[in-house]
Parts: sequence; C-alpha cells; structure tokens
Amino acid sequence: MNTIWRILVLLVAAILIWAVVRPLAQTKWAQSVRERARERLSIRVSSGVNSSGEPTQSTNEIVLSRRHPRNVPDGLRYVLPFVKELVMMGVPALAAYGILAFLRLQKRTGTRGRNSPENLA
Amino acid sequence: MTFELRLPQSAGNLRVCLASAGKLCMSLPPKNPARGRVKLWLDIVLLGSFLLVSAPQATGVTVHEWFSFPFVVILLLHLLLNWDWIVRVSASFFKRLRGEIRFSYLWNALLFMVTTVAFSSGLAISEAALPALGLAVKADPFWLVIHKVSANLLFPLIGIHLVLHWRWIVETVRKRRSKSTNQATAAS
Repeated sequence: MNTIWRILVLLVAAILIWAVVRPLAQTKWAQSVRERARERLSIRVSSGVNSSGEPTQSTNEIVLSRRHPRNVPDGLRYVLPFVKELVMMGVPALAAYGILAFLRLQKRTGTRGRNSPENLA
Repeated sequence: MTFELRLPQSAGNLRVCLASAGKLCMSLPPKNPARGRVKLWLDIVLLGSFLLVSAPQATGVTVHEWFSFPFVVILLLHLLLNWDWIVRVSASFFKRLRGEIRFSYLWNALLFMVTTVAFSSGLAISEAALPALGLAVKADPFWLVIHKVSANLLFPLIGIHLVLHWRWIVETVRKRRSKSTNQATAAS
C-alpha cells in the first residue's frame, strides 16, 4: 500500500510538471520555433518545366534539406554518441567535484573568510 | 551540546535528537548492507540504461523509444528505494540542514522535473512506440526542440548528481569490495 501511495505521489508530481510545461506550446516562442522548423524543411515543388519550357529532371519532388550533412564512418556512428554523452556528463561532473573538493578543503582548513573585513579589523 | 538517542523497540527507525536545540530530531533508518548493494546495482543499471536511451543516433529511434519505458520503471524504483531520504530531507528542509544536502535535494528535484519534461515531450513526438500501440500523435517541432533541450540538459544534471552522491558510491563500493576480500580470505 505504501509503495502504491509513493508511486501515486510521483505520478501526480509528474502530471503537475507536465501541466505547467504544456501551455508553452501556445506561446509566441512555440510559434516561432514551428516557423523556423518549417523554413528548415524546405519544400520545393517544381512545375515540371523550367523558364525556357524544357522539362526538368525533378518533377514534383520534395527535398528535405539538412543543415549538416555528415559523412561519418559506420563504426564511429555507433561510438560517437556515447562519447558525446560521457563528455557532456563527465566535464560538469569533474568541475563540480573540483568545486566541492575546494569548498571542503576551505572548510577543513578554516580559511573561508580569512580576508574578510571583520577578520582583518 | 548533548545528543539524545532513542533506540527502536523493534526493527524501526533510529531517532537522533539534538537536546540543546529543542525539537530538532532526525529519524534514521537502520543501515542495511543488502539494501545498499541493491541500490548500487540498480543505480549502475539506471546509468547504463540512461546512456543507452540517450543515444538515438546509435541505437535508432525505435530502440530509443521502447527502451525509455523500462528506463522510467528503473527510475521509479530508484526513487522508491531512496524514498526515506526524500521524506527525511523534505521534513527538515527549512530546519537546520547542511547546505550540501539542501543543494543536493534541490538538484534532485530539478533532475526529476527535467526528466519528466524529457519523457513527456518524447511521448508527444513519438514516431515508433505510441503509433505501434495504436496511439498516433502529430509530431510538433516545438516538442522536438523541448525534448532535445531537456535531454541534453540531463547530462550535466546527472553528472553533478553523481558527484553529489559520490561519497555514498565510494563507501558502498568499498564495503562491497572489503566484504568480497574477507570472504576470499576466509575461503582460503
């Protein structure tokens, strides 16, 4: 029973968070994001003839343009996303570890606020 | 400064009170090494599944979407196993509490929020899982952006979350290692 209650609490919390985020879809920002996405997804529909009346090769074709065409080797394509994840997780983790270690060291040695006006006076 | 220890009558929580501070008490659950081991293994599985779920470029969108459901179940288990900590810190959040624990609590709350946003926005743009279940959704580029941003935000959040609980991780691993070393010595 306890576990069910706990799950329900988490579920309610998640629904509340979603209820707060969901109205963002109606904002101007969301509209501009959609506009930009539409621009990126350039749809080119050819009429079948060019300006001089000759038939063109691409008739009624839809071209989805990608901004970054990538020619990554097959093997790396499966490895690089995980490397990216480890870097994105590891760099802030190392930075936080450094900051925490520094703060703990300061606390232990009692040097925090040594140069504060109160101490200098 | 005096401490007051109230030992449990049966297998209950240990209550530690700071007598000079009036009613400042803290309830500590009994330490259970087996529980710690389960938590550690679950955390390892959770991290592994997160890394797997977060790489749709490598695994493909179908795997990415279907694996996110068991990931949420493991996350739920992680939260349930740490429920005592959540309740304890929630109860004493506005009382005297170490800054590190308070920061960790807020960070975890932020992590939960961002995970919820990433998962629910992922559902809103589902291409494989929900349509396969007969729930077709119209892909909205806005939710795609929200999904990408929140998912990318999860990496540093989890990295720092790991650092905040690094002591517990190291202690649990050390205990586990020393136990296995003792067992090996006894066997020989």
